Amino acid sequence: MLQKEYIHIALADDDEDDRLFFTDAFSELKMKTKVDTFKDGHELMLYLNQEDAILPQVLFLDLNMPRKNGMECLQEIKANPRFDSMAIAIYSTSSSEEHIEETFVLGANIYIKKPSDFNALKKVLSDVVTLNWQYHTSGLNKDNFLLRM
Amino acid sequence: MIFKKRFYNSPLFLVITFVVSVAMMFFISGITFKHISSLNKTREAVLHSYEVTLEIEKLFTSVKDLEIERRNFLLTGDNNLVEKLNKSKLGIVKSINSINDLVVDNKIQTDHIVKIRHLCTSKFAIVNKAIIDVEKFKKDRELLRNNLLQGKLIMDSIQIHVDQMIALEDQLLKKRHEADQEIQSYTPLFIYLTLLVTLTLIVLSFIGFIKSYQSLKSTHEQLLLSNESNRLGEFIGNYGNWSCNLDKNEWYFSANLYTILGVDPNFVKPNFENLLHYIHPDDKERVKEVVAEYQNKTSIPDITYRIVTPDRTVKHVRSAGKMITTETGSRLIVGSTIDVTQDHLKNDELEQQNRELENSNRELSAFNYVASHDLQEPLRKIQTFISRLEDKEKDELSENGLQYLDRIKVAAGRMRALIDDLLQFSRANKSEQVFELTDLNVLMENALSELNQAVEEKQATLDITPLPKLSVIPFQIQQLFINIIGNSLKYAKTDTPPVITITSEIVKKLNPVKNTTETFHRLVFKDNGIGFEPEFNTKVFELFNRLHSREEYSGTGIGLAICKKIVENHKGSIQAHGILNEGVEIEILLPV
Amino acid sequence: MKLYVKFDFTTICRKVLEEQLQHFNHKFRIPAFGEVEFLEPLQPQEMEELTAALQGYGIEVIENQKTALVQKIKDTITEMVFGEEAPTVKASVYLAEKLNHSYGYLSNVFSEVTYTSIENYIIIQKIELAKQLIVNAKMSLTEIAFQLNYSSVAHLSTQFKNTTGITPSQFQRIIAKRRDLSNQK
Repeated sequence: MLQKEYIHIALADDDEDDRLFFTDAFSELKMKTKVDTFKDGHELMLYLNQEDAILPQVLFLDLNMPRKNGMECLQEIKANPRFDSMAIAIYSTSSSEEHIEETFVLGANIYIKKPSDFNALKKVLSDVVTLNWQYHTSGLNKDNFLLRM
Repeated sequence: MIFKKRFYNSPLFLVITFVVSVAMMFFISGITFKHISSLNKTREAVLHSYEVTLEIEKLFTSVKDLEIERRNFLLTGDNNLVEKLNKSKLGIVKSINSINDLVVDNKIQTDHIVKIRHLCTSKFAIVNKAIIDVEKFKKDRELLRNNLLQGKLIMDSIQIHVDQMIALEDQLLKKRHEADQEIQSYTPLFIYLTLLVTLTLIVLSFIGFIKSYQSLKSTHEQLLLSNESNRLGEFIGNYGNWSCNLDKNEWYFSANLYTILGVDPNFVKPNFENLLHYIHPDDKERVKEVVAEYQNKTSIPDITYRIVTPDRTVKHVRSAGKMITTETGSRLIVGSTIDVTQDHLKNDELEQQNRELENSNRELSAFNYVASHDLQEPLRKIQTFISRLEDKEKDELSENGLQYLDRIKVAAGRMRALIDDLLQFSRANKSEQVFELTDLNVLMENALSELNQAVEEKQATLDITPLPKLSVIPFQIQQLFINIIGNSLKYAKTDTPPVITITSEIVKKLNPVKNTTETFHRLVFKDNGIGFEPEFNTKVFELFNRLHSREEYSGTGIGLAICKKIVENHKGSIQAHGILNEGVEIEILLPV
Repeated sequence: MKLYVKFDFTTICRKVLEEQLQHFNHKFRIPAFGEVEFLEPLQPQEMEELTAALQGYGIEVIENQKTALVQKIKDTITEMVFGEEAPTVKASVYLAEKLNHSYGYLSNVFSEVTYTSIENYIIIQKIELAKQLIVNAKMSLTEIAFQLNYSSVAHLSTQFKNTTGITPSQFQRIIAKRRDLSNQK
């Protein structure tokens, strides 16, 4: 355990299998985490925009979602200072360089290419959360927090 | 200079020349005429002198005759001779009168003749005396002698005067003769001069006219040639010429213009209204505007518009015009209208085809990309579930089960490699590509850091010369490096650590088609791997072409095809030279 | 209108701490960064109040000794990395001296609490500083590499990439594009 409190994680992904992998991975990690999943960007924003919403510390966003995709969510979130404390990780299958750079430019902190091995997935998620935690506890500048896995 | 030339060519000059020539001719004729008159005068004078001399001699002879007759009479006393004496006396008087008339304008001679007249009168007195006193003289010898002597004395005086008169006339004659000669010598000269000048003027004029004539003829020939050429040109080029003399407002349409307009020259007059009449109603305004605009300028810009011929055919034409000012100051507009209907249609067709091709390309590209992209998803799931199975259910599976699972894993891995490469290939195909001036060394560094693991695993040595800065699509060149170096690492000999040399230099090559020298950057990637036979030098770049089985070496056969596509995107060329068991050299030429 | 500011965390923290502590009628002293010394111990209720008040400002009262040590280690490392002068001795020696513990002990405690090594943390800090310097845009990558004691830009690049997954030049580009984007708004 890194901390007495839970680390709050959220994932927005339209794919059921990916949501399953995600929650399974975290449940196997030795971290105290609370994971919320959303079926698409619309659901996610509805939740986040609630007045009393408990904001996740790390939000994982899939890019290709119906109704509202990852990019749109990213832009909405970055436009609202209320969400400044959230670290945003783009969680996607796409791997074109231009695409990746674009997500960073629009304000994402982390970019993760969905791995095709479960253990790899566990490692990636663990690294992300740990690093984010360190940023959080070491008073490092979150604006410069950029990570690509 | 131009003024001089124009002046020489103008009618005024010719008139002046003509007038001057005629004047000169008159002048010279006048002088010649005068000379001939003088010649006549001197001739007359000479004749006059001769006449005078003759008359004086005649007179003297008459006087001598009289003397003889007087002496005869005195000697013979014959009265029959008296009549003869009287006759002679009359004759002498007559002569003296003639001479007097002849020399009336010469004072000296007049004096002489007057003196002679006096003497003759005296002589007549003596003669008369002789006649009267003839009987006396027959008796008195002394009186006879006196009479004779008197007569002789007078004769002598008359002789003297006659001699003097003759001498004077001789002198006069000589002088007049001389004058005559002089004039005679000048006259031919003047005549020759007149002739010469006249001849020269005639020759010059003749030459001038001949030249003019030749030049006119030549111009005429050229004009003829030009006209024919023009007509042929118009026919082949599918255009028609028109022109207008602005000052006289006379228009001219060429034969082919009528053809283009589709009208009969006999029924349609060449004028501005008719030129506009056949324009397509939708384009009329635009053309009128352009024409109005140019009124003050020297050329009508190129305008493309449509015309409708009487048989309702729509043609696309392009017109242009220019104003010129001739040497005589008239203002002309010359213009040309070309039928571009064929070109227009072809153009439209080409554009249409282009659009279709572009669409098709875009669709294919999108399809390619989406297919590869969307195929990744299920594949990834499959692989993830496989790994979960392996982790969680390994113990529950039988040996067969585990084997099957393993094979599924391998197959899935292969599919992944294929899809990754296909995705790469489709990315190399994308039409919107941005070229940036990039330091190739940076791209090389990135490529090497991606291959870091493999480089370390194989303990590879890389020898890279500094690379240039070029205008490239950075991500693609980076991929190019990764693929080539990756290959060198993959196909290394099992017992020899791979040594990869990368060099760069600028070369110039002659383009035989354009006959120009072109400059390239030549990048060479050389490795010491297993190589391949030279016969596969071009085959290796073919899509899905592999030289080894999957068991020997992994690979999709797409890597080098991607490299080729990338190099082609940069308008360069790529070649491979393989030597079995020695390695491969890949040469890339990128234009500067 | 835009204003660019820089934070001097030490001063800010100190001020806030002082303001808050003044509410309590206890004499206190701030001997070092992250340390408050009270002459007399606080009551549990006061402790709670203080903790709650400070939490509002993001200031956490560390209860655990080990946690406190780790925090000290972190602070020292931060000082070392972000300090004006590069230390002349190795990090391990520097830390051991400064904190009066053996490096081995410090290492263990650090790993136990944070689940990462000191070396790792140092690297993170250096990269963090590199990021700051890149954002400031006043120094070239070569200068930054030199300042942070890397033997070459390539070395910095490698470590940067290993830590963040992107190269310093990519980071530079992204920051620049972010700036352009916000300037357009």
